[in-house]
Amino acid sequence: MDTTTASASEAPAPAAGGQPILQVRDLGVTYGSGKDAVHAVGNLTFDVAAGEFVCIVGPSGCGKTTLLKALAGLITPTRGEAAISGKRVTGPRPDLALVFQDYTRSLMPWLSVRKNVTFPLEAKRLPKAEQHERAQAALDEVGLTGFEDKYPWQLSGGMQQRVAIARAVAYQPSVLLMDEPFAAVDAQVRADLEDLVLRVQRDTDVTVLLVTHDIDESVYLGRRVIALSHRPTTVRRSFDVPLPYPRNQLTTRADPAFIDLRTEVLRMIQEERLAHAGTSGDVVEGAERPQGT
Amino acid sequence: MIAFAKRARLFALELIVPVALLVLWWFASKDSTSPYFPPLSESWQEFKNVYIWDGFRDDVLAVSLKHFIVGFVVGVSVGFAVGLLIGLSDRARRNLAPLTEFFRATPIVALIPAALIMVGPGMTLEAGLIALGTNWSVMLNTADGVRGVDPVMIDSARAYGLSRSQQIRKIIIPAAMPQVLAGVQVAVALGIAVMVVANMFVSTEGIGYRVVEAQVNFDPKGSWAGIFMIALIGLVITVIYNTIHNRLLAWHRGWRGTAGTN
Amino acid sequence: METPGRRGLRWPGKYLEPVLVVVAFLALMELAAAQKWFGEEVLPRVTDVVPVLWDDITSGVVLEGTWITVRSWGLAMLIVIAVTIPLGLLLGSSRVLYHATHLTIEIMRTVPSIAALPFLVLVYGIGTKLVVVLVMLIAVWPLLLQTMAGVHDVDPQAKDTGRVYGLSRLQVFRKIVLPSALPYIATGLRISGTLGLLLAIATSLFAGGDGLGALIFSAQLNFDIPLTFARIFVCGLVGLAVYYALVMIERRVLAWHPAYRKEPL
Repeated sequence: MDTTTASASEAPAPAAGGQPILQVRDLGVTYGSGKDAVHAVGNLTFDVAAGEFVCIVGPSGCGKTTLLKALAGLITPTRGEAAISGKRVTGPRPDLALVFQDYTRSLMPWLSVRKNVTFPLEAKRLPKAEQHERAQAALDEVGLTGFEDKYPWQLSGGMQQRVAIARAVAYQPSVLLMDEPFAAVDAQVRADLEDLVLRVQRDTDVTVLLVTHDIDESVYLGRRVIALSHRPTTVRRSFDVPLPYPRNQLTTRADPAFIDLRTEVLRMIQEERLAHAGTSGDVVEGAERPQGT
Repeated sequence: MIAFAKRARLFALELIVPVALLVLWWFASKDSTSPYFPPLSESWQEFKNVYIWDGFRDDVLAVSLKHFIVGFVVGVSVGFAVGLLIGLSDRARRNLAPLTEFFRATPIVALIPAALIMVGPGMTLEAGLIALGTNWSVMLNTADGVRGVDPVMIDSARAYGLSRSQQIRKIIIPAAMPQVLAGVQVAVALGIAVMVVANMFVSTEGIGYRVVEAQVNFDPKGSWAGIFMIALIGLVITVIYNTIHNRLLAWHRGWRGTAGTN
Repeated sequence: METPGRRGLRWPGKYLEPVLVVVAFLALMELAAAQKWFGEEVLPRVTDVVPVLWDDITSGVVLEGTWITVRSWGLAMLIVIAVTIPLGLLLGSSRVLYHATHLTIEIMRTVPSIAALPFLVLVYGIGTKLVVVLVMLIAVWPLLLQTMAGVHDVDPQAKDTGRVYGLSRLQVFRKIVLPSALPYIATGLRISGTLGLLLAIATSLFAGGDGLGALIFSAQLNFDIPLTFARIFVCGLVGLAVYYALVMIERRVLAWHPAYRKEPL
C-alpha cells in the first residue's frame, strides 16, 4: 500500500511520540452478499496523529460517508477495525463527534440554538452549569454570540452549520469527523466556514478528519490529504500538504505549491474515475441505509 | 409575515358569509308558522331560557363534557402508546394489523349495541365509546409520524451516544409531534361526534338526550335550541384545541416555512 | 448498531405471526365468554357466533340489509360528488370566494350532523330519504374543503409555466390545476366516504328501517347476542371494504403525482 511522504512540511508537527489517535486497519464495509454485494468500503488502512487535520477525497460513490459512519460507530464494519486512542470502535463514543452535511436534518427544529448545542451534553447528564458554560463558549467560538435563543430555521444556512459545529465543539471530543460539512452552503459562506474550522482546530487542538469532494478545499484545510480509490475503496495515496499554517484564503490558494498539489490530487482522482468509467451500480453517496440485505 | 391590516381584512371577509347567513335566517323565519322551522328569534329565546345557565351546568358540564374529557384523554393516551409501539416496531405493526385495521374500520355506532350489552348505560359506556372513537386516528398518525422521523436526525443523536430510550424520548417523539397532533385534531372532531351520538341514544341525561327528548315531545324549538348548544360546544372545543395545537407547533410552521429557502 | 451484510431471518413468521395474533385474540374472546368475565349472557362464544353468522349470510337477510345501507350511502355520495366537486373547484379558484366561504364551511364541519337526526326524522320520516339526506349533510364538508384546498394550493409557478407556453385559461385549468388538485380531491373523497358510511349505519341503527344498522339493533332488541355480534362483524367487514376501496382510489391518484401533501387520517 502506497503512502508517499513528499517534501518536509512546515506545518506544526503533530504530537511527537505515542500512538496515532486514530488507527484504521483493513476496514471494509459490504452490504448484501453474493452477486448483489455492494462493497461500500473495500480495504482501508491509515493513521491520523493527534491534533492533525486530515482531509479525505475520492471519486463520487467511493463510500466516504460509509467510512465516517463506521468510524463513528454507527455501522459495524464487515472486516477490519478502527481504534480511537487505542480503544476499538464498537459503537458511538464520547471522544468522537460527527458533523453531517445536511444541517437541516441533523439539528432539532423544536429546540433553540442553545438547546441544540447542549443536547448531547444533557444526554450525557452533565451538570446544568457546565452544560451552559460549554455551550456558551462553543457558540462564542463559532461566532454565534447573541443567537442562542433563536431557532435553527430562523438562521441562514451557514449559521445553522455553525450551530452543528458548535454542538460538536461543546461535546469536547478528541476526534472530530466531518462529512462534506460545507457542501450545502454557497461559496462565500463556505470560505468563512473553512476558516472557522481551521480556527477551531487551532484553538482546541482537536484531531479533525474531514471528508470532502472539493479538492481545493481538502488541500486548503488539511495537513494531509488522503485520496481514495474507486470502489472497492482503498487508500490510493496520502499527500502531505507542505503549506504553512495559519492558512489564508487569498495567499494560500495563490501559492504555487497549493496549485501544484491540488492539480496532482485532481489528476489522481480523475484517473480513478476514468479507469472505472461505466462501472455499474455505484453506491449512492450519502445513502443513509444499506440497500437490500 | 402578513401585515396585521391585511390579516384583519381577511378575517373580516371570512366572517361576512356566516354572519350574513344568520341574519338572513333571522329575517326569513320571522313570521314562520312552519312547525319544523320556527322563527329563529324564538328558538334563540328558548336557547337562552334553557341553557343559560341551568341547562348548561346540568346537561353540558356535568354530563357531556365530563364524558368527553375522560374518554378523549383515555383514547388519545392509548392511541399514542400503541401508535408508538407500532411505529417503532415493524413486527408489531404487521402482527397487530389485522386487528387494528378491522376495528378501526368498524363504525363505532355499530359497536354501541354490543357495548351497551357488555357495560350497561352510563359514564363508562359513553366515555368508553369516545375513547374508542378517538383512539384510531391518534394511533395511526403516531405510527406514521414515528416511522417518518428523519434517519439523519436519529443518526446524529446516535453519534452523540444517545441510548435507544433517549433517542425515542428526545428525538423520535418530538419529531413525530406534528403528525401526532394532526391525529389528535381529527380525534377532537370525532370525539365530539361520538359524544353527541352516545349521549343522544344511550343516555338519559346530557345535551344529546335533551335533543331527542324534544323530538319525542314534538318540541321543535327545544330541538333547535339543543342543536345550537351542541354546535356551540363543538365549536368551542374545536377552537380551544386548535389554539393549543397551533401554539405547540409554532416551531414546526417556522421550520416548514423556511424549508428550501436557505 | 446496524450490521450490514447480514440477511434477515428467512422464516415465514412474517405472515404466520399476524395470523397467530388473530387466533390468540379469538381464543381470548372465547375464554372470556366461557368464563363469563362480563357476566351471564353478555359476551357470546366465538363458536356460537360463527354458525349464526353463516345462517344469517346464507339466508340473505344480512346481505339485503347491507345492500340497502350501501345503496343509500352510494346514492348520497354520488349526489355529493356531483354537486361538491364543481362547487369546490369554483370556490377554490377565486381568492375572494375562498376566503369568504372557508370559515363558514369549517364551522359547519364541526357541527355534528347526527344532531340533526331526531329533527330530520320529524321532517322525512324513516326510510331511504332520511339516510341519504344525513349522509349528504356529513359528507359535503370534507370533500368541499379538500377540493377547495386542492385548487387553492396549486403551485403558481406551474400555472405561470402554462401561461408562458400559450395555454388558455381553460387549458391551464384542465391540464394543470385539475391534475394538481386531484390528490386532494381523492383524499377528501376518502374522508367523506368513510364518514358517510358511518352516518348511514348510525341512522339505520337509531332511526330504524331496513338497513344493516337496524338489523344489528333488532338483534339486540331480541336479546339474540350471538346474532348481534355476528352482524356487527359483518358491519366491520363492510367498513373495511369501503375503506380499502376508497384508499385504493386515493393511492392510485396519489401514486403518479410528483408532490402531494400528506393528509392525516
